[in-house]
Amino acid sequence: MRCSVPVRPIVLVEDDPHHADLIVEALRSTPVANPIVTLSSGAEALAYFFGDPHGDKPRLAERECPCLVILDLRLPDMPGFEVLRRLKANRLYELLPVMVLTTSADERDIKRCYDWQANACVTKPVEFQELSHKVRQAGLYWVLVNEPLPG
Amino acid sequence: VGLVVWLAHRVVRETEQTQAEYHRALAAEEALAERLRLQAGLLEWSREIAHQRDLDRQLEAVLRAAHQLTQARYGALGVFEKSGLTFARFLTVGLDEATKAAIGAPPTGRGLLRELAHDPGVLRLKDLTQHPAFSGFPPHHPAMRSFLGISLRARGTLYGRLYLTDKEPEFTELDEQLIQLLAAQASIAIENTLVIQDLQRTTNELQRTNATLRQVSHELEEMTSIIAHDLKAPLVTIQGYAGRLKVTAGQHLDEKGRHALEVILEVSKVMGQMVEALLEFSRLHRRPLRPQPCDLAQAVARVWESLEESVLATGAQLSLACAPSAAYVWIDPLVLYEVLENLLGNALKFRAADRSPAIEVGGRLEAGQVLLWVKDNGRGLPAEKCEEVFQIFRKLDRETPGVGVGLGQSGSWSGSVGGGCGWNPPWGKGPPSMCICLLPQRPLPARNKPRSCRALATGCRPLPTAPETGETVVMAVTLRKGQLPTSGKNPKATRTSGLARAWHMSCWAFEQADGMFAGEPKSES
Repeated sequence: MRCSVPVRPIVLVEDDPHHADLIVEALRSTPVANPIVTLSSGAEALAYFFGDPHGDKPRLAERECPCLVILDLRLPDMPGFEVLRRLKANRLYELLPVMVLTTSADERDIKRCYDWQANACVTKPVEFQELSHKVRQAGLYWVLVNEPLPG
Repeated sequence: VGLVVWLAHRVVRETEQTQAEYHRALAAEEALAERLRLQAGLLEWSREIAHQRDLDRQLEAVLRAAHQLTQARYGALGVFEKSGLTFARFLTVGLDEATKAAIGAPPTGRGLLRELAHDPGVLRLKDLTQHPAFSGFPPHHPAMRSFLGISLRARGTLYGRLYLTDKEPEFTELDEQLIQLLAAQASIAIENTLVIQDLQRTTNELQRTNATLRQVSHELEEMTSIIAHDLKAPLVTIQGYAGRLKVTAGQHLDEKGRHALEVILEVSKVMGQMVEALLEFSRLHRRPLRPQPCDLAQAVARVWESLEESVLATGAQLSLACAPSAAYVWIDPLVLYEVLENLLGNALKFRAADRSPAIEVGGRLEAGQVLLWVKDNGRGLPAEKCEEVFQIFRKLDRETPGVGVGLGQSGSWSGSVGGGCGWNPPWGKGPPSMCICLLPQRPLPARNKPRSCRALATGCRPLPTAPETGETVVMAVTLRKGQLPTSGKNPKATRTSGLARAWHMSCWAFEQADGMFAGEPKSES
């Protein structure tokens, strides 16, 4: 395992519990053994990273920072862009790899993701095999292949 | 003495006769002078009336003209409201403000004035109070005797009335002719104003309807997009869990159970494709369009390249016949690509089981638009399905893969840029055999004229015979494995540019040989 100790988690921001379940399962079927933190709304995600949803003081210590954030764009309480924007505007979190995972492949949405410095954009395919494959590939790449910035 | 008396009588008689003749001549001269004066006055006033900007001033000028030229003491002009019972406008001349205020409301058209309404001509009276329909003046109204009145009518519609009163000793026939001319002018002015108002109203209504339509269309597009998103999420779940079930418990299920699972997976997959198609549909329509000149042949070649997989699998052959006038279309490149991809993809998809697809694509200019046709040797189309296939999610049969958006997209796209899709060009007869698509064109700026291209790409060969449409085919393109240049690091890019070059060259060839091919293709008729 390449990850530093303590093992950094993967954070999954996804409001659909079934989708979250499927994504977690797909990740679990790979050698990626990092803990997975599932957050089901924008507010939860902001609370996880900032404690206070309106504040911009990071709650996490540098070594607790996730090695990958998987972010759904269509959250019930706020657009996923908002979470992305807040993360990328923060000095501690700006280099965290954020993978946007969304049902929409709207050109404008994708462009916005990259405007806000998303590291990757993946659309959810309807077919299970494909979805599972995409998530596994992404997990393997970001957690095991990619060399993170030294702390 | 008798002779003298007789002579004296004769002299007196002759003198009287001469005097009478003199008076008659004088009267005739006066009448002529009067006529000339009126004519000149009428001309002057006509010019004045025509120069007025709005209806009120025009009517006022008409009334003043009538008043002045007939030398009447009073005059009035009334225009009815829509109901025809009361006056919407009532202008007077000859009455001072105090009298007008004392009389109060304008007349409602009883008595003598009502009489006018039913009289198509002119009513000229020496004494209006003697007329059987006269029912008295309203309080404070000045007494009036001579009367000249006329209805304002145009094309059978009664718009209002014009009347003059109190001329000494009475109104003449000349006055009558004059007032008829002025009434005609007033009627036309009123009618024109009403027509313009009507037009304005219709335009406003149309603009409102257009705005509503745009709004509704926008909302529908938004809704399609939302529905597509929200439908997709549960489908991902269904697919996910059914897929998981198949992996984890598949072997424990009996055949029926496995079949059920397969059906769930298959059907939800098809639904997923439909949702994707809807998403694609709404997404493309929300994008702002950037129309520009697009090389038609080049676009066809690019699309054909993108369909490589199915072209290679079926051994399909494409021939393109593009008239020089239809070498380019004025369209958003993405729209052109979508239209062509769906048309060609459709032709490949509905191929006949026993032969390789041979697809002919042609273009010519028809009434300022490029008429593109796609003809294939596929399984054909029953006449009654012609319209249906351009609707979304309508499929010719259940067996062919796909969800039935291809032709619908082509139709919708070409429609959105002012064209449209259909079957058989105007010169084609019989059952539907050619899918046609109208695409916009505009004059091309000089710098965009097709350039010559020296490179002759492989994969193209001239066709010796012209097809039945009478169109001259430049060349046919075949795409088979190994036939196209695949050198370089990116074989796909090389192939595309090779074909694109070929098409460029074909356009150039046409450009050079314009006289030879006589420009436009001959129609079959």
